[in-house]
Amino acid sequence: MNPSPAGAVDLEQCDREAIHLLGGIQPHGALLDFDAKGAVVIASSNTDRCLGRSASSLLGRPLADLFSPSSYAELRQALLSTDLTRVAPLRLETGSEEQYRRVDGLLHRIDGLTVLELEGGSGEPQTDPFGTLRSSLGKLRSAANQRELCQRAAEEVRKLTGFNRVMVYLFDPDWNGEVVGEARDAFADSFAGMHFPASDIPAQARALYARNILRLIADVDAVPAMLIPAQLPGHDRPLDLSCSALRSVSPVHLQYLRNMGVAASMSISLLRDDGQLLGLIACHHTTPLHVPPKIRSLCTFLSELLSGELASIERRDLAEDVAQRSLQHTLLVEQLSGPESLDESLAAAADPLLALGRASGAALLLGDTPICIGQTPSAVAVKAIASWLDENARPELFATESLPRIFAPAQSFAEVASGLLAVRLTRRGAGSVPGHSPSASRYLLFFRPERIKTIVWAGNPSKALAMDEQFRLHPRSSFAAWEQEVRATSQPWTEGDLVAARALKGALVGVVLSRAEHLDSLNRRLARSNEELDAFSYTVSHDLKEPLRGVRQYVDFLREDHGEALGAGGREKLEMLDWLSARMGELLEGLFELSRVGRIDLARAEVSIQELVEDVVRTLVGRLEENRTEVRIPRPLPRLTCDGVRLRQVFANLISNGSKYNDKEVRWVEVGYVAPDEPWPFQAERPGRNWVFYVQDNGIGIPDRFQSAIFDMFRRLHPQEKFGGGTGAGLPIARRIVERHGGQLWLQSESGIGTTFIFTLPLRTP
Amino acid sequence: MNRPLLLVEDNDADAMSMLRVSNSIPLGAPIHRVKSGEDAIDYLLHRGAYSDPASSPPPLLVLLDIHLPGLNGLEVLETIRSHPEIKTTPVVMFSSSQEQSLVQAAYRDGANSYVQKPTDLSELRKAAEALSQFWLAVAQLPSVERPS
Repeated sequence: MNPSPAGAVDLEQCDREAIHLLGGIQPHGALLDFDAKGAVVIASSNTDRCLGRSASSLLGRPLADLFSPSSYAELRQALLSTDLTRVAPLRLETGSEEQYRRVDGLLHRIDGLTVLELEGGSGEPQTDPFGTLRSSLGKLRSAANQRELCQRAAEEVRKLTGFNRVMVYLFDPDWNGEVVGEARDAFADSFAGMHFPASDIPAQARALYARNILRLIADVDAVPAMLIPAQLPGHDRPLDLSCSALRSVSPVHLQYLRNMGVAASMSISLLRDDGQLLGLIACHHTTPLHVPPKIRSLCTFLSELLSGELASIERRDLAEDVAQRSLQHTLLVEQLSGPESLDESLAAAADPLLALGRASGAALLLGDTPICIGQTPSAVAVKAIASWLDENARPELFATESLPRIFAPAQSFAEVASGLLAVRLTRRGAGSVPGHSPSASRYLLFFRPERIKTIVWAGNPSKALAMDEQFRLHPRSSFAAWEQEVRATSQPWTEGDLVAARALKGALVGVVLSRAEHLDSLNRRLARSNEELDAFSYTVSHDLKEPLRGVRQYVDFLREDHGEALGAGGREKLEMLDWLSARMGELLEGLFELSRVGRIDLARAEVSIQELVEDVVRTLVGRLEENRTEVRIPRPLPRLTCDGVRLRQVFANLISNGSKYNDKEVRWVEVGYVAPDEPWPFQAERPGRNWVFYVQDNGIGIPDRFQSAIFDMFRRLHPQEKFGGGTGAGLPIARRIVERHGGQLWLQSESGIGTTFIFTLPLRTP
Repeated sequence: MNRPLLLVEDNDADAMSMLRVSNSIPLGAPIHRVKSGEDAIDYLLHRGAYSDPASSPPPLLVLLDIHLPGLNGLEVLETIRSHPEIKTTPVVMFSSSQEQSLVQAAYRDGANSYVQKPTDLSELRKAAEALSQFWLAVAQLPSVERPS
């Protein structure tokens, strides 16, 4: 069926069809458009029916000629009102004095003119509108929840209007509609619980719904009455009918209604306080039905009441929800503020945390390792989600009920984390430590599992529009229930979830901050106790050296004075005593040096590292030659600000180690550097932009398991007699010197191939 | 007048080592040991127990330990350099420490050299020989003008 020449539209135009400029009205009423002087400028072609005069005869006529004097007076009185849409439908007498006819009149202003729409006198409504309204009001007010409220509203509207079917239809955030309440008689099929795709009500239709609260289509097969003249005088377009109650209907929409088996329809918009469309009351009749303006305005009132009640239930539910969660919130914060570690206290607070987010899993990402609670994706996946959130610059609070749909890797863990609610605690880079790579954002993530959901659509939503063999577009012809199974989707996040998450963020930031403070004070205490330990070691090692010197001296005296008498066995024991005290002296010296490096102030100056290393090599030349070690410096080393004396110790230690712990026939040690702007050749992540030096050898290498232990004080990996001995103090001292400079020292090594010691010196010049 | 080497050393073992060395090799001067910085100043200025100048002939050289109880070596050095009648006395700092800050301070305050005490006797012997070779054979020492 294709009732109008505009019946065929192409797909691109569908969402842009200029519904408000169709230039015709529904023929169950007539339209007059008049200027400020009250002269008719435009009239609909069907004026004969309710005014008894042809449209052409009306043009230019004053309104006063068309109505009884009292009606004309009423009309003039109404026109004084600034908001004509607030004026109740007028009861006007028209025709000649002998036989006045009563018609209902609706006024509005547009295009600088005033529009009067007239609908044939329908007589007074049978029921007492105020009685009906009072009973409706009571029923709506006593509804327990939104669903019940909508159900009752549908029943009340049906009682008022007599439509075969009245549905209350609420939009989801994607503008798909769900039938939440329905009242119907035996002539109408049920759509209760069904979903209508967003494409059923295109964007420009929604805009019109938000402007015109009520819209009646009295007869889908009625031939529209055209306006005369068709173009608005002085313009090259028809009169704007967007505020017209009689406005004719988009052919696509008419077809949609016909396909649904509907001959008359009425829709009433449900609006939020901010004017956003919340839902619709949709009324259908299998035969043409004219609902008079008075009833319609009652329906409008009812819809406003419904919107208000829906909002107040929403607010009440939210308030209840928030109140309910505040207990969990309090429990959680108490738990987290305890003295236990964050891991421990979070694990203990798992129940209130998950209850708070109505989630089955949560992860707190503060550092490198997420703390996972309940059912969550793997730690690696959690980190991947966090990086994805960062990269896509998601807002501070981000919720999705289908993460896999927007983040493909989440498909592999859709079962546990289809729903994601992410709370960013701190932004990426905040609170980063100099010399370290910028910290990642910190997040609290809530997860909801996949809930395989069956949506019942009113007809196949993907066939909302269908092309016929002539490439003409028709709305879908079947509204039979069409089930769709939706996967990788969780229970949606509610406003209450978001409110709870936002509140939790505040609390968590507080907890994290107070923990950071606590940590800070611990660090200060640790630093102080480290200082005390250094002072202690310094004093002890220094003071112990003196008597130890005495011991060795007396060993010497004993040997000189009584060596003969002691005999060979006695002298051998003396040798051992001497050796042991010498060894103890070395250990004390190492301890002394290490504690000293922690205590002294660095004497920073600009130093040529090239000269410094050459000097070290000169000092070590004896040992290097003995070990047949070549020291290579592939390119001149830079000049830097540092404590040259201390840095000499570092290079001396590393170079002599490289030569000493080496079993190759041809031994070499290479000293080089990487400038701050040069590419990074090493395995470990570069710790910031700085100068990097390395001392590489082709020595025995250090097995992985010892690579950290080697920096422990007095830790040696080889027996005393092998590789020329040593106290095991050199590397800890070297590392400490580098750290005192604000740098880091570490190594990479392959057993049997060689070792590279790497250390950084910060760019800053103090 | 047999001018000695004045050894300022509180540590008996160190002092004994030095005396031993001086007994086994000819240093070219006798060693006179005092146990504290205060005693050293008394000796040099002929005060207290050393008020008889005959008992305290001006030393050729002072071997001065740094870590002394009471007045430490650096303070003794400062005192020596501040008294006109003894300020020219050569002073060799003799310390078990090789800490650079001490070495710096010693030279800054007018030490004539800084020697790290060797631990074992043979090393000490070498050091003592070198010292006597330089200070008592090679170097020209200032003459002592008796305060009138």
